[in-house]
Amino acid sequence: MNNFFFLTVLIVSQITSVSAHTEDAETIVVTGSLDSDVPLSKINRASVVKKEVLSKSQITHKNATSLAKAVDLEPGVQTTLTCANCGSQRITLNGLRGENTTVLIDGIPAFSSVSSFYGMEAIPMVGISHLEIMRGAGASLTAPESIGGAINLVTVTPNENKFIYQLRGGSNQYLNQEILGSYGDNNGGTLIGAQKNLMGSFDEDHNNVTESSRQSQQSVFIKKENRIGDKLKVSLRGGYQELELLGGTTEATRPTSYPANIDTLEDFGGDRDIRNKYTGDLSKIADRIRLNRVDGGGSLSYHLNDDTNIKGSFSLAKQKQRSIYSHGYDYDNSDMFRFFDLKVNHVVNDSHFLTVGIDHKNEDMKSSSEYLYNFSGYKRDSFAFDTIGAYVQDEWIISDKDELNLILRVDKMKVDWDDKTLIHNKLDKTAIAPRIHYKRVHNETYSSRIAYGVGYRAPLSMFESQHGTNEEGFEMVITKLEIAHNVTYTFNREGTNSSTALSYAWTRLSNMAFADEETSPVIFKNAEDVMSIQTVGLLHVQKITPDWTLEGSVDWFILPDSYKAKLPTAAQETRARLTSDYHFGDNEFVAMANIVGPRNLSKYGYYKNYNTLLDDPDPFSFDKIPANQKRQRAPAFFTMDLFFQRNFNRFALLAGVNNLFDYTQTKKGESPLSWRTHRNHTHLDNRHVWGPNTGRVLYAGVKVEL
Amino acid sequence: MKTLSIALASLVLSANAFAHTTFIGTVKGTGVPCSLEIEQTYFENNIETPANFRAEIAVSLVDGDDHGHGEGNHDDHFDFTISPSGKPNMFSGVAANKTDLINILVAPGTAGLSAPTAFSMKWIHGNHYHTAQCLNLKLAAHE
Repeated sequence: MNNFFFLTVLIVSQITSVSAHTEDAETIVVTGSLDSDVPLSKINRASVVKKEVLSKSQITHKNATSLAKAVDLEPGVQTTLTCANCGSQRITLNGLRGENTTVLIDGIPAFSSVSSFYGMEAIPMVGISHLEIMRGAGASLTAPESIGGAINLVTVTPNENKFIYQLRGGSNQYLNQEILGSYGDNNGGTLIGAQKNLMGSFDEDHNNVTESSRQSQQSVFIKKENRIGDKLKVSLRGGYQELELLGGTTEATRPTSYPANIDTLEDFGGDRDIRNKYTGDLSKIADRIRLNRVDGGGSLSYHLNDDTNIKGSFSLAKQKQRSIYSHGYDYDNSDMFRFFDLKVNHVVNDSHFLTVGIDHKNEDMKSSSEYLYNFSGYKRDSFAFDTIGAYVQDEWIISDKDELNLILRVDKMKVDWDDKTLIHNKLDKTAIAPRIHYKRVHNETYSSRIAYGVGYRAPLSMFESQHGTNEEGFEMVITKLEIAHNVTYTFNREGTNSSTALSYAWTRLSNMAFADEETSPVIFKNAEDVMSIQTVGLLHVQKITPDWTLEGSVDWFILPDSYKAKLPTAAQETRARLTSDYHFGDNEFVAMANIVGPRNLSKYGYYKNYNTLLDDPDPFSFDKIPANQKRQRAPAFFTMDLFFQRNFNRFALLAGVNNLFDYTQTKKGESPLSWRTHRNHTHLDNRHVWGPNTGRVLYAGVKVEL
Repeated sequence: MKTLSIALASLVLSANAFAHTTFIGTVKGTGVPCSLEIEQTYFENNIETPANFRAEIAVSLVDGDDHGHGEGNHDDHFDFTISPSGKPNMFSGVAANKTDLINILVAPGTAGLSAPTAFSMKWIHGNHYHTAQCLNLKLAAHE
């Protein structure tokens, strides 16, 4: 998107703002986000389904410009970097992989498995009212594939005249601009917004190979929501996003075609030590990924009578990806995602609220590559996915203290990998999934939630866990749906000045799809072993004074070794977090401290990663001998973020620092770059990821709110 | 001088006797069959010295990393021109593309390429290199 478009949005929003000012000058209220009423509990009390809410101000405190950054380190949530060069970040819930997380916009599925791979970094935070994090299989009625859970982006309701402009800039080329204008009243209105941000790359060891990619994102969106009469409510939204990730190269060199030669053996000096300066052609180590996404969605809700309501929803998204990988190939795809849902809500009586619905989801992905398909003749990874589902839900209020949600879903799923022929190229399955959510209010202070759900997902592409393909293509031997049984228990205490939530989640995952890299070609297939993934979490919020709130959380992810071996990069296993939010006068100061515990990295396949590559002493052999194995134990590490805001009449000044102590794994002597042994050869890779790869970022900014 | 004469005689003999001879072995690590075919031997500039010994060979090798799925992909067949490497019992060669390399080990005390035992290759596939070794070469039975 060019700057002209961004400027247009700016002008339109300003016009909206000005007209609001003119028409209603006496009633303008400065609503500033300086909110001393920090929520005492993250869990939505009214909901039977456990929902953890992340407010817009909390997102701002993190200096988060995208969904991936906003939810990172929230209870049970991890944002994992799956490759340092390409910059892909996946959001995992309860230890399940990124492909098991469903992202919804206003409750409607909006991202496909392919568009989630890089898309999490492209989802802007402008226009977001708050985020709802729902962990566990079956958390979303309309997303059976959300085995790990779902994240719902709740957009701002345009019911007031408002204009917000925010500018932040800082070190490492950081620049973020957000603009939001809304015009409306209680009957509805229009919301329009845009965001543009840039974060430069990081090369902490100055070896001319970056550990964190340069990321630039631009987006614009519009939302229109109106009540028509007493019975009809219509909501429509549309958006456009662009993302560019540029990794490896330190000089923002933008390759336009795959490199003719990617041999880097002689580019790291003596012993081919990746800790030495890279002296070769930058195009050999550059990953460049560009995304363009157009999406739209909406809903129409009509009250047939006082007891019955009918609601139709839809979501459409078309994403185009163009990429050049340092492994020496180009890869483009076009991914079309469609979702339609129609449901009837009916109040049966005082105790039962019934919902019956059908939905249809469709994804069509077409890929192209000069190197992979035209030159090498490998099979395309294109696919067509189609599923039709029906569901019924009974929200049953048994008593003042007991509430039950009973859900049954049936889905028929079809996948056709049109160019994959190794063993199977079609999947046609029907799945039935029951879900039960039960809430028991023990007394005014204590409550429990227990949930059981089944999730099932058709694995579609190797893109779910790593690059859609590799330099030798891949083959598909998926014969089964991934199936997860999940049990979650949460014990809640909500006192006058504090709240506590202790939670446990157990997931039994069968037929996990993974890429078997020890075969040639790489085979994307179902695992034969059944895996038990457990998460234990403790969250405590304490109001020390009316203006000072402390929030502490501890997470423990218990992952079996066979599961770790199939993850693209190492997961966090234990961690703790403490947030202090203090208000004084017109000021707010937030400090966030995070501790991540040590891990044995060899379980994640990191034993294949080396720092140096030596000549084989046998003159007959052309082989190179990997030596100096990279660290197999990730140490515990500590990071801290600070945020400060001072409010004035119609604007606020803000400043902060992310990663205050500049802790990165590279500064501890372990960059993600490595020589990775892969079957019977060794190649340069960048997946030795276990800690922060973005260094300290200082920033300051201004927020204008009218 | 006598040794050189014998070696030369052996080379001349091998140059004539081992043209169009095929040796079969297995790829290290995978056990997949691989082959080396001697198509022609000669002395460069017709100077019959050991240093001028040359052979045109064709090898076939699928190492499991380089499966040659593509149409018109000839990655599993390579042609080389071979010459003495300067190291004992080893010949080396380079392909016409100037990038693919081969080392051939021969049994000690044998002449020319009369008894190759193994070969090692490094070749470019698309834009990246692969290496592999073909071991336990044996003379293929005549068809």
